[in-house]
Amino acid sequence: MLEIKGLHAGLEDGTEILKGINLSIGAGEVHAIMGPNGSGKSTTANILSGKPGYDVRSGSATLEGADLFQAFQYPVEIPGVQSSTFLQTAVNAKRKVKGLAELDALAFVRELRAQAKKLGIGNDMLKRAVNVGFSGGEKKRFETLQMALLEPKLAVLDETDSGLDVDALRVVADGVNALRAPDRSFLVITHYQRLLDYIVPDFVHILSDGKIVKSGDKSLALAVEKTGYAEFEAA
Amino acid sequence: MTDVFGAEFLDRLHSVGAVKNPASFEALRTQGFPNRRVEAWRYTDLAGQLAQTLTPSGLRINQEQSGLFGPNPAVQTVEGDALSLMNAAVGGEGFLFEVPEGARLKPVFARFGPMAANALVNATNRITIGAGAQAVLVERWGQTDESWMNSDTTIDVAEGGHLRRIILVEDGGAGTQTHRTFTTLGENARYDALVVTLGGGLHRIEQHADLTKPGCHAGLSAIVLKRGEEHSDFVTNVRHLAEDTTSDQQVRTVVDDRATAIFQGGIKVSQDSQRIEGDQLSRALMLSDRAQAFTKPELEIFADDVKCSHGATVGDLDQEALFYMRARGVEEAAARALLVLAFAREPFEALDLPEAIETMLDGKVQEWLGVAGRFEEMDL
Repeated sequence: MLEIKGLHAGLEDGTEILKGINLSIGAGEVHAIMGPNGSGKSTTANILSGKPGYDVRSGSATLEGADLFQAFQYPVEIPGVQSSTFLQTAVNAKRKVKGLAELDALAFVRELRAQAKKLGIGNDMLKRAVNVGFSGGEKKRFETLQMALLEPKLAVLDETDSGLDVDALRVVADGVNALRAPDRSFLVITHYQRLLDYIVPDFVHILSDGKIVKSGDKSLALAVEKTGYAEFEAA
Repeated sequence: MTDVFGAEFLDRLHSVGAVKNPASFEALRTQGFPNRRVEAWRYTDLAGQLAQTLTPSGLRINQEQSGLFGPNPAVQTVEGDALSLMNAAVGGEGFLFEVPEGARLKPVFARFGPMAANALVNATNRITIGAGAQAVLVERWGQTDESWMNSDTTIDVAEGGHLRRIILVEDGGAGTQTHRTFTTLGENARYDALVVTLGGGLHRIEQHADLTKPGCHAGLSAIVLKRGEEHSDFVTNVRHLAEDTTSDQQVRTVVDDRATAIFQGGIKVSQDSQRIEGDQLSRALMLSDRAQAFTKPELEIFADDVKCSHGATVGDLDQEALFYMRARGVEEAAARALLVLAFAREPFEALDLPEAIETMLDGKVQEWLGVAGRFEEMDL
């Protein structure tokens, strides 16, 4: 599904951050990238989602087909843009790409209500502006709702656990787990092992100084939790 | 003898027999029109307007039926600047809107124009809101060609009265619109004005408000959407002449292409006016490198117990918000439109307008953005 080959990338000012990433994610797989601060975790997410300000030097990242994939970063507040309007616009953009008819307000509201209910999201939250005044838990719930509505083939979850208490973490993890499907893959980026108790990965990769220095199964995450990142530091 | 600015324009008016009030005409012929050396006019040049040959014409009023709204039979001269003198000289009749004491009106919609080609329309309008009365007036000024509409409106809001007034200035062509309003507010009276200017060649809208009695409030806000070579000059002048008075000015400007938008925001607090609150915030979005936005706050405060704030920002769309939406598959144009729409709506959300008016204004902004009907409010 996602093939990253020899990816070298950095900031537009010339700073190199990723120094040759190789990663292959198959359909339906959940991969986790762990690593210390400054190892290039968020840069990986930003580059995969096409955020401006980054520069790919060499290598490639290819995603099968033309489907959008979603980067799950720190939610931005967008005052004045109603959450439901934003969601309808995004869903219809996706439908257009797939050659489906756009949903009118009535049809969309029906779909929105059904998905929101599963995540414990009330109408009042959908009436508010995107992420404005949302608590940490509400923001993550809202992001999970977007995933459910947009049905990406690949979702990149960048530091989803930051600032979440255990209850909020569980809601998000339940949402993600409910979306696990044979044709949908996840790349979970995290500093701590904690999130991986809830979203159990098939593969874990340790990122250090812009390179993947070790790959393994979920037991690798537990090892990091015990010993820290020091022993994996790139030589 | 050097001739005054606009002398030939005035002579042309005179020669077609347009002058109804010689005294005003002579005063204007002596002082001329303001040029850019006059501080209040430093950003706006009337040379193009004064080079035109225009035909004086009466104001065309189209309005929803209301016994309280009609032509203004008794025009009183307004003490404004040269443009008010021109209005007085040519003797423009306008509209009269009188709301009796205690009345609660449904919104009144009035439409002015479109005019015949190359018309010069002068109008003197009068609005009175009786004690405790409440009214919503929506004025739409519009034309299709290069005519010039010039008006003075005087407003009196008596004790405890409240007028909410939307002034939608929208031109299909490169017309000129110069409109001035002079409002006097009584005790605990409120005047909330929202100017929306779209299109046109040159728009200069002035809002003057005198807060003469304690407890009154003036809200003078504007949404300015300009592109092409369009030019907008929005001028406010709030005078806090009594204690315990408040004012608020919210201006949101969006400029694209080579358009120019100016906001000159005045707040004056006289020496004996204590416990005053005056807020002013001007935010401008620049959608093109060649567009221009100027903000000139003018605060003159002579009292001690005063809370006045003013802020001005000029910027581009929030790139983080754009990226957030783009990362979720929203097309660039739609994401930009959503952000501009949210930005432009800010001033009218505070007015607590009837839903039909909000929908109409939303529609105007969406139309301007080329996304009419695209973003519907959802009934959740």
